[in-house]
Amino acid sequence: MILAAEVVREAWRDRWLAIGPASVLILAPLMGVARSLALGGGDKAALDLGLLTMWALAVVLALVIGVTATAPRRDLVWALVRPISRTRFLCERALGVAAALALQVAALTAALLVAALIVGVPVPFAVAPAAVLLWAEACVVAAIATAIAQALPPVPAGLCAAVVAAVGHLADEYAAVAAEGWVPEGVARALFLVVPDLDRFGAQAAVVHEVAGEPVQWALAVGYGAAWCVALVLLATIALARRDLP
Amino acid sequence: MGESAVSVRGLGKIWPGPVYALRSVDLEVGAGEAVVLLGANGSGKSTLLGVLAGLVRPSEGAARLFGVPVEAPESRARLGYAPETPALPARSTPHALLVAAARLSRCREAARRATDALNRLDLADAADRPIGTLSQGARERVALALALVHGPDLIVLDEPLTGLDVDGRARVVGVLREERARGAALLVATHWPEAFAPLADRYVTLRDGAVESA
Repeated sequence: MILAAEVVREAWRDRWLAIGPASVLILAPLMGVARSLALGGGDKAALDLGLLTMWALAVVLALVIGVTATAPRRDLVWALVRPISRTRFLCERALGVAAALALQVAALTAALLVAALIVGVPVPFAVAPAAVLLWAEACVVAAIATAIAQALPPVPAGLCAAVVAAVGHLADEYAAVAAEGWVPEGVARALFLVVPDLDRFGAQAAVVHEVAGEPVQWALAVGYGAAWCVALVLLATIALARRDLP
Repeated sequence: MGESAVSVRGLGKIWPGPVYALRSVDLEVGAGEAVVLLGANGSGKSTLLGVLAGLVRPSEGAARLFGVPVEAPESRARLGYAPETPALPARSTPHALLVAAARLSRCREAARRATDALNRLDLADAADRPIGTLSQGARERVALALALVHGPDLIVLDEPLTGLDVDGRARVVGVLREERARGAALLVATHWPEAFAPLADRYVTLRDGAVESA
């Protein structure tokens, strides 16, 4: 796990892991404003905005860390010329990304709790499973970025992964899109198969409205995310094995 | 003759274009032998070294290090490689990077080996500074330290004197002389053959991707 630990160190050295704790500086004023502007249910509005901000930060960081940690950059040649396979290289780096994102989501959750405390908004226990689901979603987004980064330069890879992640949140809309005739039904079905359904990880409404979630559903969603991560990293290893790194 | 450190047979590499970077290259480097690779820019030196380091896939032919095909990760267990103008993680420190490299090469006492390698290349003062803050010459020496940290039996270097001042060049050549005395084989691509004259057993010249003289 040398390379996995190296990814976490890189995320720390590159200051990405500082964003989680620092996000309290954004979350507290945003939640405060949402609470004071809401006509009714100010606490729910504040919590909703806080969770949305936390989600956006986690997804952006997943894209950035996913691409930078696994793209075959020249400054990783020092590791690639060691007696390790490219499959091991990428799998360890991907595990490191998952670990870095776990730290990041934990820090974002802590920041949300601190911001809620400052603003005086009660946070239900459901935020804990929601954080786990957010981590699972971030891992899937990072795996998408990893797969694309083996074929494209970092910036286009990050942008493409962002588009795929956005499409992944439209899974529920495929049928409607096909019915509207915007895209053929076959294309909508194909999208449903080749793009992970990221709405499965959404627990924001459950937290805000204090709806009791089903632990089985959470476990299934995490399993679904893990399956997608394995498939995407496998795809990335195949692409990396075929690449020249002159 | 004993085991070959490098054995290359009919090696070819075609880049998209197509550009013929290597054409039916045959090359042997014996264990403990020092070979200096010469040739103009674009002659295929870096591509050849990239194939040996497992970074570039050959289009045809075969290359082996100590009898192991370069496609197998195990072929790099006894290899130390430094590319031309190496890119290194800017925020990492030389010591941390060398420790990670030594561990990946399955070395025991990785921290001690890292310290030794840095001392040999006069980098003790820079050991814990971010690599991005080091001079180009110091970064070149960090790259060489990465190639040497695990005590390889074959050292493959691409233009190792680029960016070094007079003292730095002397230091690098001195360290390579020690490695040679230890029994390591050397394969060095350079535009400065005179700098390696005291070390070289043989010169091989590439021209347009083919061996012109050996």
